[in-house]
Amino acid sequence: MNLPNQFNLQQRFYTTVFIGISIASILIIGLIYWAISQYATQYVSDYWQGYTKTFSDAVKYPVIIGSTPDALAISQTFAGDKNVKKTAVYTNKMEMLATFGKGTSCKPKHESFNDAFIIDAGGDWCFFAPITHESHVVGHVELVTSKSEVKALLLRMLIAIGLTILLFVMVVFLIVRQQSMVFTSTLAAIESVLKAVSQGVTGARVSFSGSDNIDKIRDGFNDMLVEIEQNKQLLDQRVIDRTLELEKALEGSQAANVYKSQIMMTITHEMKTPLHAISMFLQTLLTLPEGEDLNSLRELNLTALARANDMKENIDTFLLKNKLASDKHDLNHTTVDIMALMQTCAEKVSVLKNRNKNRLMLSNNPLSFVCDAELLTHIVNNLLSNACKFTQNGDIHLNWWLEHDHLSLQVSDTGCGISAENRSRIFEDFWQEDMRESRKFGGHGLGLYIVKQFVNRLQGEIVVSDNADKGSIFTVTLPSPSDEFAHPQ
Amino acid sequence: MTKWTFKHLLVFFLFCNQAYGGNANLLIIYPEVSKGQEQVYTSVIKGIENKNQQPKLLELKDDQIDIQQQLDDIRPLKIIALGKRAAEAASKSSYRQQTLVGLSYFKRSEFNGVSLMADSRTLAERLHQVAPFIQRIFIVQQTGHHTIDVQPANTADKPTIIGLEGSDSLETIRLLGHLLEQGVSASSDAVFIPANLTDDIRQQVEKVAWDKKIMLLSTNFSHLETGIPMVFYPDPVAMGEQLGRLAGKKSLGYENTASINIGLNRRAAQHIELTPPPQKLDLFSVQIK
Repeated sequence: MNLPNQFNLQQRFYTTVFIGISIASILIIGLIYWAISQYATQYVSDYWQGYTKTFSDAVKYPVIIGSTPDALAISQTFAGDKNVKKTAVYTNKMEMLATFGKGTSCKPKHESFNDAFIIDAGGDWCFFAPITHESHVVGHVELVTSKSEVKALLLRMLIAIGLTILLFVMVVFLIVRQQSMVFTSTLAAIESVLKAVSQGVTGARVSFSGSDNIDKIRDGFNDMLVEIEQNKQLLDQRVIDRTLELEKALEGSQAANVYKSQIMMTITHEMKTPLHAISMFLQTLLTLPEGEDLNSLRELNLTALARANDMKENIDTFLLKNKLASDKHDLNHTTVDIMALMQTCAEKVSVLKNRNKNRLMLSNNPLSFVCDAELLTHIVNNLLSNACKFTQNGDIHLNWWLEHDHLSLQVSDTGCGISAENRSRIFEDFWQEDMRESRKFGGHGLGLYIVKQFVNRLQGEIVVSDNADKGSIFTVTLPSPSDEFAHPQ
Repeated sequence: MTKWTFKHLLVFFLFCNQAYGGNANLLIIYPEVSKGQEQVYTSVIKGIENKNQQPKLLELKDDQIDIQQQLDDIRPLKIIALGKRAAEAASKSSYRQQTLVGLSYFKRSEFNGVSLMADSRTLAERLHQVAPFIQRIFIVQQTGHHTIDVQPANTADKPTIIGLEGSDSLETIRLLGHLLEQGVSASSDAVFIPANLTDDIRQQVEKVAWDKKIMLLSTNFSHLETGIPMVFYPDPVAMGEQLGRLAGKKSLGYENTASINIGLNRRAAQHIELTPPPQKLDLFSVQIK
């Protein structure tokens, strides 16, 4: 025996249709039987009431004259019907005048009555009707009839109705079963596609067609599948993108850690270098024999002092970097003699310039410009210092001019230059092209960062480009400060 | 004659005799009647006119009760009121003493005129003409519904008249029932049934009488068709003439209807073995099969 599968759509459809038709059939049979039984009962009852009324009219004369033989003859006549079990005639004093038959009598609730009534005595009916003459009640009649024929008739009708409806139900069910695919094909197709989709198959679509509603279901379902697949693709792409981003972030984090280590190493190196030098000079001074030349001692002391100043500059640079980071540096605009400022800066880097056997040429362009002299000095010093540092036996040019109220200054060298890929990073803090401990050029990587910050403070801009043969050109353009800057409140 | 002819004849009389004022010797008051009664009234009026030339006519409307003003306008010397309604209307006027009543059942003490009540002696005489073997005539009536004025027979060769009266319809039926059960002889007795007997009881009575071959008689003409062998009813023209003759007298008085017609139900009569010889068939004004 095959148990019904709760997921089998067709079986569920058959079961639903069968249960529905069965319930409907039972209701229809019950309703029809109830209606027919009501009608038949009422019809038979009305018939017997009329029969009883006729009986009472017929027996009126014998009752009035008190003639038992006549009353009995009439009672016998009315008892001739096979369904009549008993007839009886009573006077208005409830005395039985005549009776015929052996049926069980029903006792009326009232001894006298003016209207006909029925007593339902199980398998029998007792009909009572008054005998009236000119509004006088002269007696009453009783007619006892059997229900057996009515019941038998109703039973036959129930069987006939039941068989008819059963036959009808069977025909309907067979037709429904035959035509079930028409009803379930749509759902079956949807179920099949859903199963494929759940197994990861893409592109599965339903293709049934029919009425407008069926076509709408098909189109709607297919649109839903397309949307689901598109959303799935979008989700997959997002997962891939996010994974890549996370990988990049991880790599960046690892690079940042390396970068941080390098910076720490650079700073440590830059701080330790002058300390080593100072320590070495002080050690030399201790080990010098007595009577050493004072000039030699002074030279050692001056050298040690120079290294101490280098260390101080480094510390000042770090402090300045922090100051810029916290935005605590105030501008102080004054009218500056640019040519004098440039010459001062050139003198300041003369030691370094000479050490690397470089040649520095300044343009002869005297002019005045309203500017923060300290920041401008720092900018020029840094650019010249870098040019001298990264140029060996080369030429360094420092030019300046005014153009549309803008001061432009340019430092060009014939040094090692800056590769194109690093050009965008040279203004980052602590960045150096060669960050190895064994690198050729020292430094902490904050010089150009501070220059960039100062140029920004002065509302200007700085660009770097390649020199024609070799080396780099740094060009700074500073706008003329507004009155607000020129004359701060 | 058809009903249509009678109706137009009545209209013709009304037109020719309409009273528009002035002193009149005789005024006939009659009610608006249905088509079925028109023939009777027309015949009665015709009988009156046979005895009184050009009596004036006054039709009583359905809702009319007071006719004093109209009577004052006409100032009749005598009035014949036909029907109970006309009789009551005339009796309420100042012309009561000059009024004769016809076509109504009433007693001597109630009105002057010709009552529809037949004299039992007249009935006995007429019955004797057609059924001489009848020895006793039982007249069963209900108090207040008399149609026969029961008087003892005054000659020895006439049948004996026995009047029975019930106080109400039930007692009347019981009297009639017991009479039919026990008290009559089918060969020599005849029974007048009450004219107001209800149809269902009458049918039962007729059945009993049919079974026992008892001769039933009635004064209700409609009973002829239901199976009563013979009915006795007034002759309307003769009743009119009787009224006209009474109106011609100086002093008004009371009379029972004098002229009685006889209707015969031949089948019912044949069942009780009443087969009048051909020479006596003329005594029956109506015969049905």
